[in-house]
Amino acid sequence: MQDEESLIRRAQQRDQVALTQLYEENFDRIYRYIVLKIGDRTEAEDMTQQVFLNALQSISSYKWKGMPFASWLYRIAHNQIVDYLRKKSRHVSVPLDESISKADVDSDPKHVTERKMEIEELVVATKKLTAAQQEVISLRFAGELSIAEVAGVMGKSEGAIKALQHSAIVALRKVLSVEVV
Amino acid sequence: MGRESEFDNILDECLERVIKGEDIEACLARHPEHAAELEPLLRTALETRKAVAIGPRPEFRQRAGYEFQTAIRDTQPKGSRSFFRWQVRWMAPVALIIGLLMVGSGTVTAASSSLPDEPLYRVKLATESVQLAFTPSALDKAELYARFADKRVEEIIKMADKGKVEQVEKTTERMNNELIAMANLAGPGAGPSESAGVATLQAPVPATAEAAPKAPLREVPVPATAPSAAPAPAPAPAPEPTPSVEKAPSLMQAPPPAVEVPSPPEEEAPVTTIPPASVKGVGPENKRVTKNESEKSDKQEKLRTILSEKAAKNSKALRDHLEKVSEKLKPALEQAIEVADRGYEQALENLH
Repeated sequence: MQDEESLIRRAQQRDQVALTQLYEENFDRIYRYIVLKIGDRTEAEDMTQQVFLNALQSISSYKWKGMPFASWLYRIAHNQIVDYLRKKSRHVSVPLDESISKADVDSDPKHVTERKMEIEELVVATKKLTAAQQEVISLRFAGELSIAEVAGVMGKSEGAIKALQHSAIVALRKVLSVEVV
Repeated sequence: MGRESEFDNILDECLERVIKGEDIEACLARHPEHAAELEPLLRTALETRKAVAIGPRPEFRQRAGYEFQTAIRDTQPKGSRSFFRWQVRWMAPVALIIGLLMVGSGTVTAASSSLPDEPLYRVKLATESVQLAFTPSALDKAELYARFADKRVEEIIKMADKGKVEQVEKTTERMNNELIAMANLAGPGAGPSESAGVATLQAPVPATAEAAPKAPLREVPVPATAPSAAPAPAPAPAPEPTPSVEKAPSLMQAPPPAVEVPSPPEEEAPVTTIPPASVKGVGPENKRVTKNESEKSDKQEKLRTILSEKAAKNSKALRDHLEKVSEKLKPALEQAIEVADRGYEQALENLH
């Protein structure tokens, strides 16, 4: 954490290597987080880039509070996602889940967890979860945050996040089982 | 502590272990009383994690990285660029490179030998990005990628020695990206000058379309809107910003065409283009072009030799190691061998 604090301090002084390092460390996971939330890879690319450009603009006002820098990036990403989904709801579009063929899916429920699950399928399944469960799955598995970090981002206790994680995985498994029947 | 919260803790503890590479069975053995409930949840969680392990398209990553670097420069304090603007603009990166490569701060020096499971590894990657950013020529960049691929092979072997499957896979993916980028940079249009480097990135090299399906690692997602058939490579840059480099893991590369070359007319081809003999006679300009072509050819030949040697050396190193590792590690290492063989093969094909 101490290392990250000094890295951020250097980044705030526009140290190119420090900024590059923060970018490289976080780019993929922010991308994955956004993909899982919106289900559109191309759009997620543009949004990921925008997250980092916004972060670059605002990094001088960033205050170190002991939380990982990624938490701040997830908040920026979250705000952009909310904005995107609000705009998207005004337009008619073909959602990603409709593009998934049921024929592509293993029809034996026993094989639900044994076969390889694709991202598109996961996106569809997570949409059936509650908003909080979705957030935990996105931050924990796409964002690769620890329970403590997820708790920090979501403003909840670690115990609450563990319980949410449990219920989210149970719900996800249930949705996946139903979908392949 | 209630039963539910106790189970939540056990589930999380097991998840952490499984994420770090421990077998699910080992976790279940540790908690036999919860094994029946734990197993399906751990499997679902693991599958979720695998399904979401995707990355952006390589060409996007490259463009985004360049634009981020441009944004960094644009947000530098104005005062530092007001005097002798151009000189300062070039002196800064040169000083940075000198600082990083020649003198080297303690951190950067220490990072240069760091491994993927060490905190300084990110510094190592960032330093490599900076090196790439300030290497203007496409062929020099390709050579740099080849050196990075050597490092990745070393890292894969060391991670295999440590029994870290996930790190072997991640490093293999990184190597795959570097080899694809190298193959594209070594392709038609690559030249010794900066403009040639840009042209390589602009020109939709057919190898890109071939390399993507060949890439044995995770998919390289191609959106429906992306051009499915790449236009034939032409000396004049395409107006649409669709750089051809398939995967560039690092941030800073030659700029995408839309930024660097704002839609020049077709006649404004890179300097390496040889005008038809029937149109122009042998003048000083033609001599310069011929000289450039000759330099380019020499560099390509040199790169071909280097890559052939590296291909053989790295393939042997990985194959030798395959016999020494545990069964658990074999698939990951076989993947690395396949990636290395294909990557070098593609680059060498492009150089012919």
